[in-house]
Amino acid sequence: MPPSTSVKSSEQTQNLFANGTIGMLLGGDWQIPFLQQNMTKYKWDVTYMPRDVAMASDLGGNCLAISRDSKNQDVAADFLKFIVSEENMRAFVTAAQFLPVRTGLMNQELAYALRPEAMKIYVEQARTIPDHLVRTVTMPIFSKINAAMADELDLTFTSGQDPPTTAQNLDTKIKAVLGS
Amino acid sequence: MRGSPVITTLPASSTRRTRAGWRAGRQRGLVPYLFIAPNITLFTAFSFLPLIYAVYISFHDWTLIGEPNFIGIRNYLRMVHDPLFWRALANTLLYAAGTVPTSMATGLLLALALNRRLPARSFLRSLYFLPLVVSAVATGTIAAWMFNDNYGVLNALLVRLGASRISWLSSPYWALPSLVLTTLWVRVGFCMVVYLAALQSIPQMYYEAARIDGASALYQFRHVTLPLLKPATFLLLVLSIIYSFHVFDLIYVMTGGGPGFSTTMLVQYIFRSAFVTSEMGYASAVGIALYALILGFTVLQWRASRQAENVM
Repeated sequence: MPPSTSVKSSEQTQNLFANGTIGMLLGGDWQIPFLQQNMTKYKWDVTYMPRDVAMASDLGGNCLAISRDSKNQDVAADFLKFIVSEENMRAFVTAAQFLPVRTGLMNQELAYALRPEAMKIYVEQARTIPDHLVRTVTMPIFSKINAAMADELDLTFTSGQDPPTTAQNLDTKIKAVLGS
Repeated sequence: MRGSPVITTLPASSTRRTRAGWRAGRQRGLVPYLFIAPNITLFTAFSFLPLIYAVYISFHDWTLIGEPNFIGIRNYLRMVHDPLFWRALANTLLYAAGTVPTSMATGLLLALALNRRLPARSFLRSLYFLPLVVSAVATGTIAAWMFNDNYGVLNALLVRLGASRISWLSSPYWALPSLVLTTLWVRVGFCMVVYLAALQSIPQMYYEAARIDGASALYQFRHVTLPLLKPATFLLLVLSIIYSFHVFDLIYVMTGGGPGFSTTMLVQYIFRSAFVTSEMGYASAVGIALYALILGFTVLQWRASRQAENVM
């Protein structure tokens, strides 16, 4: 991985792909509107991520949650139900090029505004996200695990930290986060 | 600063003070407070109260959601044993050492150059001052483009000259120097303007007298200009150090504190603790440490300048 595209850098890899500097990009479905608008000189398409013994994928985005101390938990829960209702989620993901998180919607043909055939591959790849990853990413302390991973991987890609040290540091830091 | 004589009219003392006179006197007493009220109100609301609150929060464990949980001085103990805190402090001091003397010296040189009759003098003055007026996010974005490894103008220039590319922002050795260079670009204009104003307030008769005594240009600069620029130098030193200690936006835009932790400054570390890992208590503790550091520097410099003035 080139140091200039590490997680802390200001480099936008989508710019490098759109202007033809790089030929391939590990990108997300949310970048489709940008590419449609800016990658005018070249054609692009989407395929599955490289695989060895098994397929998997990453999970990102923002979580919606209700605080334990919330005074109006019922109202907040109603609002969340409204936001994630099948109808609203369909409208949101198709307009903004996102992946649905309702299993019911994953099995439907969704009318994406841009490049629906490319979105199909993203939806297929998203099916490979393992359950344990979903459970980890939605933990309240995940932000600390995420920061530890970003720091250690950045040190590996930019500052010459060797992989065994990175693995060891990650193990120590994640154990500390889980133990706290 | 020496006080100038002020002529005042003292009210005639009278034992029978009229009601109207008493009211007028009280109003006169209130007027100054009225003038400073907006400033005091804003300062209290946005600086003083948050500072007190930060001290309070620094003794708690708080994620911003829910109630703060009192943990005594544990945040401060953690800070003392946190290698990242010391790294951020060292980076901050290094950044200050790299930016403060250089921006002041370059600002002084520019001020001396632009204090003469030059063609397009006003245009050049505005040009040097421009980066300071523009938002640091905009200057940072422009600088990040200029320093970009792949399509930056600096690397394009190096390649043209036959040299190899430099990973300006993605090498842990070059990232801090790149930030220092960008800061110079931003800060030199400010130093120049302050020095220009100070240069223009030096009466010409000192130079005339020095010339009559046969002083060379260099001698005049050393023994007339520099000593009379002392108040401006002191002001710039304090302001520049404070600026360097709490730099944030430029670095946030250009390197995000990376590569690794090579450009993580104290304020970056506060931001990261508060808004990435949601540790408000720890972030506040680091904030208080930074506050103490800046306060300490300011008091030291204040004392030094007072002593220098007494000697003069």
